[in-house]
Amino acid sequence: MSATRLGELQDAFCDFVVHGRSAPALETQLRSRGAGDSELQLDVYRNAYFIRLEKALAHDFPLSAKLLGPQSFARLAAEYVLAYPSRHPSLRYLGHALPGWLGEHTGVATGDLAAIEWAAMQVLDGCDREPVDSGRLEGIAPADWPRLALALMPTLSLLEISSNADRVWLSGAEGHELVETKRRRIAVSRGAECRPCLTELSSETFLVLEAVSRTNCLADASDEVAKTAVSASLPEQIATAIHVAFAHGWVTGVGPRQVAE
Amino acid sequence: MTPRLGLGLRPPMYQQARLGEIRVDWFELISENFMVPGGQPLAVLEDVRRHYPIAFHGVSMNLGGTDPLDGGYLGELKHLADSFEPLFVSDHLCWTRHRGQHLHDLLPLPYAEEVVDHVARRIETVQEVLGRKILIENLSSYVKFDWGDMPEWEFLAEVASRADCLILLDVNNIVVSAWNHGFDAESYVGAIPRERVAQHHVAGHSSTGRLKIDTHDHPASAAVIALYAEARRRFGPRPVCLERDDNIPGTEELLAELKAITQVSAATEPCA
Repeated sequence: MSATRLGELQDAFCDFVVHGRSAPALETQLRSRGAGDSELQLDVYRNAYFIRLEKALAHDFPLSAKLLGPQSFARLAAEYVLAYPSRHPSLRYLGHALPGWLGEHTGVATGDLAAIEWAAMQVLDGCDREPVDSGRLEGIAPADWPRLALALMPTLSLLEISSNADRVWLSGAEGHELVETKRRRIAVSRGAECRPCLTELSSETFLVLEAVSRTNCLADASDEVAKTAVSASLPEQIATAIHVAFAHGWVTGVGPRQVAE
Repeated sequence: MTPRLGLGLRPPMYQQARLGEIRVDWFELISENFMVPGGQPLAVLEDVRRHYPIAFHGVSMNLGGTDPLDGGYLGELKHLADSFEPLFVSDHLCWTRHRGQHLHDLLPLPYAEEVVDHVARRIETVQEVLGRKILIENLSSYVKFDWGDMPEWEFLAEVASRADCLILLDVNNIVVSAWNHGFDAESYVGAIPRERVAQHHVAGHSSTGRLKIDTHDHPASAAVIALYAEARRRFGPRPVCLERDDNIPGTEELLAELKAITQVSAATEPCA
């Protein structure tokens, strides 16, 4: 065999379930109880596949699903799972690319709302870390600042949005129409009992924190931010961003690069 | 004393279960829902475990697949099991993933001798990694393959014997598959070796006329309750878990259903 024969059978089964491709190779291997039975039996699996995955996405993106409407969301979900088949044992991760995909297929504002919903999931079940306070900075010698590492909360998401998706999210999609706006920056972070908190950020603070979250190093982040056009002076911009991060409890580690988390 | 009456823990029950307010002996948890880095799911798990024994029931182990077993997945499951000391770790006698794609469904296998070998070897590997025996659950299925002429119960018993694992006998799944494939449900129960059965599932299903579908959205049918009584007679008292995934009523209603099912069967004595 057997692994080969079983693999071929699973190839054909998968092809039918996911793509609905007529599978004579599969149907000849089924034991029907009557005419048309094998088609009916296989359809149970095909229907269940799409219903289950759509339901998982609707669970994880409830406001996006609500605003798009059940029929439209079901159609989009079916297209999405064809474009991004599940690669993880848990359905929890199925929607990882949905915000960008919805942004492309339904408009920026819907993508923004989905991005907030995805960030809220990270808040719910992301890594637990305790915040540190800004007192940690006091013991750091001036010579160590260039290689200072700052670790931010793994559950913190920094998002650029071009809509009022944050307000729509906060209202539970009641009383706000989702519309495009000028570009704004927000942070989605973990609050009490793993609830998501939304904080609007200045573009300067966003740039610094975004660079810190990518590089983990203040000097590298400064170099990156220095390449962008900013209105405030760079040291002031960095100091403000660090202050905001500590004030909101988003910093989990401070120290020379090799010892920070 | 072995805990008897269990419920499948679902999000609407989390709040009460965290406080130990549900009068049930144990909970069965979907393993994958707790394979997360941290946050609320693990906080729920810790609280629930403080009050109740638990079992981990998986849906993505892919025991019947031809993709290699997922070492990362098994590592996470081992970590969960080592951390929370479950009564059981179980999954299904099926395949769920192919060529890297997870289908998130419990897909049927051909009941062929060669497939017994294939699945038994994979279960042995899983048990070595986890350092414990696992339970394998029989499926509800809607198709049957021409390849292989073993009846499903023989396939299940043979896999369990060769892999030296235990069986989670789902009586609802037997009722569903018996209708869909035209076999006798009681004969199925009668053919399963007593010493392998460690747990039961009971649940409800839907009927479309030509097929029964394993939906877990209704109370258990009379046929399921009767078959559970037969299973109890044959296997003696085993931990039993009521599963409900849709149209989930309040916990009092679920507990009343579970008690009614087990009271019907309590009068029947195990075989000598």
